[in-house]
Amino acid sequence: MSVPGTTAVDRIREPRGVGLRGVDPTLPVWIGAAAFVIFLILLPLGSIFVTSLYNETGLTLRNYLDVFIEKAYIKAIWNTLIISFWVGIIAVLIGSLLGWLLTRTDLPFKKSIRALVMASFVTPPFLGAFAWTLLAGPNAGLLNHWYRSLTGAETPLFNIFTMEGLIFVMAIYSFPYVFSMIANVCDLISSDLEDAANILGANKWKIALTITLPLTAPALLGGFIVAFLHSLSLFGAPAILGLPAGIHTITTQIWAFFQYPPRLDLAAAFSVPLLLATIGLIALQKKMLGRKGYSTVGGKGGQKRLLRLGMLRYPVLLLVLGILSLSVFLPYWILLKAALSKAWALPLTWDNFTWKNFAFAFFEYGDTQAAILNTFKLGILTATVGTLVATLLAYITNRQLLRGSRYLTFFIMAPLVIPGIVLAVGLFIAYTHPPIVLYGTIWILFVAYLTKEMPIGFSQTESTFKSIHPELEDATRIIGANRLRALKDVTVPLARSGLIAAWSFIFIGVIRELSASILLFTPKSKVVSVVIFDLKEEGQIGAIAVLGILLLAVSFLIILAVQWIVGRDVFVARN
Amino acid sequence: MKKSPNFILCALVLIWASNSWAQDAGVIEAAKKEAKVVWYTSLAIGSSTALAHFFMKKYPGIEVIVNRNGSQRVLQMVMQEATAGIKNVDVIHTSDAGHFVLLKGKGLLLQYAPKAAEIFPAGFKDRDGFYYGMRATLSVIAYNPKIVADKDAPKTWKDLLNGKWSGKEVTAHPGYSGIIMTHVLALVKQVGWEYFQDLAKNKLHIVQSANDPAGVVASGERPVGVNGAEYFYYKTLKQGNPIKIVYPKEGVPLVVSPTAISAAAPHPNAAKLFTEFILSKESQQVLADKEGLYTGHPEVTYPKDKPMLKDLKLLAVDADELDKRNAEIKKRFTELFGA
Amino acid sequence: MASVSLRGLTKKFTDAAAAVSDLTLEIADGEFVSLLGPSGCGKTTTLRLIAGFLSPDAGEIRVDQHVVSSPSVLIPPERRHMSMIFQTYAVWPHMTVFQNVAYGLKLKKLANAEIAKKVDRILRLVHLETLAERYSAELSGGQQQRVALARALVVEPQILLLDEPLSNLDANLREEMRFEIRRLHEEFRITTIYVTHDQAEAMVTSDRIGVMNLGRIVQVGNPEEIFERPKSRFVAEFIGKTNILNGTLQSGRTVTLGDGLSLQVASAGHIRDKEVCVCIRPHSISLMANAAEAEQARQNGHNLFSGIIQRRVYFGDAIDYTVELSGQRQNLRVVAPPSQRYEPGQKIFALAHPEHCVLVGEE
Repeated sequence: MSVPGTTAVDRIREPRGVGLRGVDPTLPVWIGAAAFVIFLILLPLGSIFVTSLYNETGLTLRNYLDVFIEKAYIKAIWNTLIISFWVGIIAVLIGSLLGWLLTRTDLPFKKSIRALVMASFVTPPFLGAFAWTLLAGPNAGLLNHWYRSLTGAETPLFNIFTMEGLIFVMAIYSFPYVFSMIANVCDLISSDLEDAANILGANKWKIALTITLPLTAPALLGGFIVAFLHSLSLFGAPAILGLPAGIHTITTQIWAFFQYPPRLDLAAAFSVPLLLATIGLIALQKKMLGRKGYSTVGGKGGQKRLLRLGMLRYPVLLLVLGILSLSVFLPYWILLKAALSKAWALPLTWDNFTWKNFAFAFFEYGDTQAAILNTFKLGILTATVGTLVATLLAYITNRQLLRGSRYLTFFIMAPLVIPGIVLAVGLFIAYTHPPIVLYGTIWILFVAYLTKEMPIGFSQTESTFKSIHPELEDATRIIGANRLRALKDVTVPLARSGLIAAWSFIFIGVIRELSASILLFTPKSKVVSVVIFDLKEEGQIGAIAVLGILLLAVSFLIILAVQWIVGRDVFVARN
Repeated sequence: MKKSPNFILCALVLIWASNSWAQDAGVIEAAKKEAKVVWYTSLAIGSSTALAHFFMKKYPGIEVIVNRNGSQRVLQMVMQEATAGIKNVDVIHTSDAGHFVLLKGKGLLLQYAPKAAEIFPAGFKDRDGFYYGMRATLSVIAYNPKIVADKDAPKTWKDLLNGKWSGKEVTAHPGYSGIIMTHVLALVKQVGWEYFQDLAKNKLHIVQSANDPAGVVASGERPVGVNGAEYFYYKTLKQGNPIKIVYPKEGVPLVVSPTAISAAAPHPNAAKLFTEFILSKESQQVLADKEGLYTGHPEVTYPKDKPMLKDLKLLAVDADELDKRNAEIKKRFTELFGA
Repeated sequence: MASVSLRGLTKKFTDAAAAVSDLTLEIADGEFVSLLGPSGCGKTTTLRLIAGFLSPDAGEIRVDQHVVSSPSVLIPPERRHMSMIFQTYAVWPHMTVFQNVAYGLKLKKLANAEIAKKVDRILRLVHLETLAERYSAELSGGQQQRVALARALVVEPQILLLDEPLSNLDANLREEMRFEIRRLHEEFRITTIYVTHDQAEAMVTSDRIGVMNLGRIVQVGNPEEIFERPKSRFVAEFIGKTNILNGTLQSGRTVTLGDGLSLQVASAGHIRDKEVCVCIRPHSISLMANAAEAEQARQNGHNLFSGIIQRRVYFGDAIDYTVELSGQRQNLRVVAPPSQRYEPGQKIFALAHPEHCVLVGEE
């Protein structure tokens, strides 16, 4: 075997421009990706900020004054805070109960229950809210109807068109966020910690209360904040359940500002405090979590033993199924019933059965076909571009390719706490006039979805990259591959399942998006969620049910396909 | 089986061509080249879709894109697109006549004199020739006879204020519906805002579209509708749902819903053709027969089970006033009812 | 082939002290140099600087006199024509052995037949020819190590970098691989820089060793120099077991320890301080029970210590004694052949030739 001549050094000696000599040829890609995401975030937020400070007379604080002396607007803020607080509390209760039961006890049928939690997570809250109007409308709602005919009572059991009803529905679709945080932490607590208490004489319930619970406290707080922020940003559920009862929230109020004559300045001024509040909450969370050293929780985790529920095993299972029937079984059942019947409130007999809703939704109603096409086009496009950009960004921060990549993470993750409707206000202002006019096309929705879903795609790919040893990639580079080539040949193939998961998370996120879409669509660029919302305003119950089932079916198909391709459960059991 | 409708169609076309409708062949030709007409309409989904299909059968090759939404949303769309310089809409139709005063004032409408409208009464025509009343309906009271006995049912607007209806009434929203906008203005002029102030005490269920109360009443979710599009109540009733319509003696708000062509219409010829089509006697008759609407066309006949307009005390409102008081009405209504 | 020269190389990571500071080292064409030091001494950082994965904050790296790294110039790793073997082997799990080894050749756009031939040859050289179609999950640690080696060599690099390549292997295999690496070096004569914390590895493989501590090279020399003539207490203690005796340097080559005991050392050399350390390797000390013989040796110029056997540990090929020196606070460790057996508690004499008593600085 011959040893090479001087080729290598010759290459190094190759004359190049002095300044460029040492420049990594892939650098423009990284700088480009970073600049792109910063632009994506800064333009809409900057637009909101600037717009909130101007009216016809020029620079002014008048908009803030207008917004914050108007009683109705203050009421909307107050409503939102109350709702979000209780949603946070209830979501933490349900989420931590299920998270603990599924990771630390011998509850039966865990896999199926996880799948049901997943289903709650995938169900768009506006669809759940719609289903609950059919279930628990005070007079015609089926549950109330049954209750009255069973008990002969005059008053309804439960009126969904109230603050309580709204809180309830938002909570049952927010708890999966808390669940996944708690389940992850519980998975990491080793039994040693619990055994230590056991030896000192604590019984198993006492251990759960005094050891396990405090250890999960940071996750509980984090879960509360996530659920709080999630409910803060929801638009569909409060619009469907709150407005009929005269309850405005911040998001519905912002939406109302867009009605003719549009008050973009007020919408912007209304958005800024919301933005500041969410940033404040995140900062608070960081601070509170940072102070306590729960390093044991993050340890490798010794062996885990499951708490025996004993006699309570099946009663507890029943309780769990009861909770999940609120978010999954009952709503899905009523949607299916509404889709297949002429009159949704009557029993689904042969006389009442019809395919007409499907025919109407898919063929007669003019908007649907274009909207379905738009939705899937946008879903695929956003998921693909989003995964690609997220991959590049996660790569930058993971390998610290650029100075200040820590701050880059802040920009990428920012949309997580920006309510979709606020983002949409910014995008609407930014992209309705030159130099970049995107309004009126699906591209403005694309930009909105890309921005909104970036944190999810990023955190997925980031954690995947973290698990890939950098030396695998260094080994590629040292024998002659540049960074992009290394990424393509080694890192991406190894990150495959994580990237597929990121893709499908984004896709599912996009097809259910309503709160940003509702401000950004035009008749030419409608999406399914907007069509559902339009149909709701017109009371087209059967057609809504059909389209809702379509959304759910596609989401579940994607999940099944991913699990089949990747060969494991990438959604619920995240590591 | 297939032949007969085609045959009827051909016959209809012949009748059209021969008498009332001597449309310039040039417009049809140009419209076919444009191949498309985009219609922003507040006419109920089923009705607008049916009308569009009717048109497409008549003029194969010209596609009607229907965008149905509430009147106020239609206006919002039109204005947002105008502001952003997007040219999408050809034909605009809402139930809020005030919108057309506004759009006309902003120079967003095309002046056009459809031949079909020559025969329409003055109340259905803009004096400057920018818009025409395509249909008319009433805003009425309705109740569910399965839940509310006829003798207990409200007969007048004032009856709705009775405390026994607390939690049992539904209203549509003037911030969405032009019909309700018209309804509120008509009643405010008749009995004042105090009426709505009192009404709000009954904790109404608030829906958006003037068509939506029909479903809410029929399902029994709220057995009494304090307003709503009469034609949609009528259609729902005809489908066998438990609904009874009340035409209050104090007066019934009459809602004339204009149609106009956008000044920036990307398909102006198709828009003209479509406008001729929807104002033609045959289309207007279809609206009366199939949709339960009233029209401005003097030759159209109406179903026997519907009252004749001339037998009712009608409350008409002025389009200019609708335009001027639009914001005020939305704001006060929202203040009273919460959303 | 290439020479490498590191001049004033400095690299800082966030706020902490410099990982590598002002490091200068010349590596000749075809030379095998080890960087030896405890973990955190900056040796891996130095290697990654040479590879081009990191850019220096000050100083420069030249290959054949051409600057490849400096604060303003950074030739990316892929253009340096180096190879590297990583601590984790970094065998790509989604490729077979063959694909792993062929990858670098593919990047060079060689024809497939050529690639096959070269890969085949190198796999035979590292005894992996039968495992070409396996994936890394199906290989043992030693086999993965060989894949990494083959992959690094097949591209015929100018410079080979090895980052603790044997630290994840078990003891026997590690010893075998040391010789294997040296054998391959002798075959190809590629300029090689080898990072390790294991002095035995460095000794076996290297032409020269650079001992590193706290980001600096504290001593460079061939294995013998490093072992026999450590310049500092740190080097002496890091390379093998040693006895360090504190004392005061008198005139000439005499050092006095506590309680009047004095000893002769090899050379005062560079040491200027009064307070000094004397380094004596345990195996350069011999034990005697017989006082007369001991006295004889002392008169022949040996340093003589008397003491008591405090502890005895049997190692098979040697016995490790701990001798408690009379009048001293320090103990002396002595490695003796297994034939010399003394009992704990026995009075004993320990002899060390001044040649083996090396003065070292505190640092």
